[in-house]
Amino acid sequence: MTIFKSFNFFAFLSKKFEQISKKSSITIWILLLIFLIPVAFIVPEFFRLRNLNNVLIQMAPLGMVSIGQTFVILGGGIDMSVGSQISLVSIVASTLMTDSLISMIGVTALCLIMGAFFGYINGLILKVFPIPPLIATLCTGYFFQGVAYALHQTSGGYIPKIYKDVFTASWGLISVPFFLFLLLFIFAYVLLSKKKLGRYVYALGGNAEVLDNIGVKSPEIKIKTYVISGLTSALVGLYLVAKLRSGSSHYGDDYTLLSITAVIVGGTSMAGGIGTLSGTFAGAILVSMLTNVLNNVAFRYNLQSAYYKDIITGLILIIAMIFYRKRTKK
Amino acid sequence: MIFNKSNLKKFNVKSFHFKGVVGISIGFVLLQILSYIISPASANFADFANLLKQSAGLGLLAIGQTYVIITGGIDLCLGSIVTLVHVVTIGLMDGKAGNIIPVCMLGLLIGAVAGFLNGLGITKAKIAPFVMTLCTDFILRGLIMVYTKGQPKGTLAEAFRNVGRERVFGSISVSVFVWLFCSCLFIFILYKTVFGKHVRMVGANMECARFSGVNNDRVLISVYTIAGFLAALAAIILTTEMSATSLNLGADYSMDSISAVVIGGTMFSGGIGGVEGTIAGTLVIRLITSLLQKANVVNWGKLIIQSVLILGVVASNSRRKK
Repeated sequence: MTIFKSFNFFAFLSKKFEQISKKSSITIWILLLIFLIPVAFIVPEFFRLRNLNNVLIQMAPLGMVSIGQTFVILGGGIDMSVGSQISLVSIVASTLMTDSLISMIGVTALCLIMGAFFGYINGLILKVFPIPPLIATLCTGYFFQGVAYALHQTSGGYIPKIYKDVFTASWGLISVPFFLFLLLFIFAYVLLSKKKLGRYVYALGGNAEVLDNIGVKSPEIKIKTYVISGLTSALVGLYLVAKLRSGSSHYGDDYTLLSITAVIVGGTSMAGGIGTLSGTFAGAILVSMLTNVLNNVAFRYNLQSAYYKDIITGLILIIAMIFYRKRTKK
Repeated sequence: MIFNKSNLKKFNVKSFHFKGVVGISIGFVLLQILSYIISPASANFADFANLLKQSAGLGLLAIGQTYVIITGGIDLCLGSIVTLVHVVTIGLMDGKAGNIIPVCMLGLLIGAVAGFLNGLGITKAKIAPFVMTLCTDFILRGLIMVYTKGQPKGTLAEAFRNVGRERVFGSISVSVFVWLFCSCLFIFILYKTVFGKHVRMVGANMECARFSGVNNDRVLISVYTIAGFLAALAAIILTTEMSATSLNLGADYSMDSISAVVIGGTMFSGGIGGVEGTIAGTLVIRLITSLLQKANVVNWGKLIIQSVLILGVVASNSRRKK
């Protein structure tokens, strides 16, 4: 009898845990902490202040794209064009920018508007034609990539030094990219959980009919999610172009899958309507931390880390999908 | 009765698909005439045979993609399967004629296993097809780098390369016959066998197929395995016609095969489509590529034209269905 009781207790505990993890992203944060334990033993260098700062800086661009991607996936869509948007923005910025302050501010504003416009195109296509978001954004992604190739075959362009200095400055654990990410995160968090738009985004992914019944035009909300995704992509494009001081049509290549991985690992359901931004935060840290740890391990044992990175990213996404399978079925 | 004949006839799948196939065939003929107008020197049989030869690899790949899209899925990792099998084939053959058959077998096995794993993830773990195949794509790309370390090695056996040099009827290469044979085989399977009927049923309505006693999981796994196997076959066929290893061999193939299938009249919503349209679609894609090559804008022109083409076809289909 006692055995049965203890079973019941465990079942109760796991049920309680499931209830909590449904509402918040606690699972993924706990997973992140657990992941840190072996890391502490294998690569103690990881916890040096300088390396931690590096992890945060590396995580910032991925985190920013993932915030945009979270909005889209929460709304029941997917944005496969973020990578190409980043590349295209980086090329436009590096081609147009000159040394004067006006040009720097002007080009930055232009690029952000461009990003929003790309997102608007995605949303508009989905509004006018009832086609799967995957196909639409895959095609627009290829289209943007084609435009990027047409503008610039190889990497190049010019970015003033001061632009780089502003975007990559860092003091101790605080750096401009991470600060930018944090600002964006807080802004997005308020937008998603405190404002009307956030409620509508959740409703759009959960059950779009509800929105139409209360008199909100669901396609408009959908367009807004894609615009947010385009804006964050443009911001990342600007950051990358500042960091590397040149534009290239390959900067964004990895970001599409990595951002989807970060969002899914963070507990957002692929079907939409379930998920949190703080989960995405943890997912982005996990994905970029992995790169850092792999680099550290590879340096120690003289391996080529870049070869294994793709394999491990793919495996993590598959495992995450299996892990969250029960919940997405509802 | 609900299931009387007149009700079934209302949604006439065959005529819908037939229009698509006729449309793409007329499109191909018009495009071919256009290319002859642009360069009159290319209006001979040898040039057409060359187009067929270039289409063979893509055509084989697109057959598998057609089956996958008919079931309502999508396969984004076919390009990486092509590169992996290509690299492994050249790496292991090492110039010896005795190695040809075992190495080719291994290549086909790799493709089939990759496809099988895709199917397993999609059916048993219930992962969305594009996420699963995108993950496989990344994993395979990683494996390619691990295997080659960025510098592919190995040589092909002469006997193997002779297959690629062989010409039947003066100018048609062996690969074209492999492509045509496989196309006919899979057209037959799709329309005349129980398995083909199941494939179309699963694509049209999964629930309905399940209630009709179709083992959905088995059908889906078989379809993805077939797609992987055909991609590996395409890789081997392409390898016979090459002299050196290329790490970019399969880079465009995922996108190309999807566009060939879609403009060939197969619909993303599943259930409607066929291999015969894909043959014409493949020829159109390759013709566009060769035209762009002549204009020297291939790398960006192709991306833009293909994306607009796919979007246009899918969008017009989606409107028509309503």
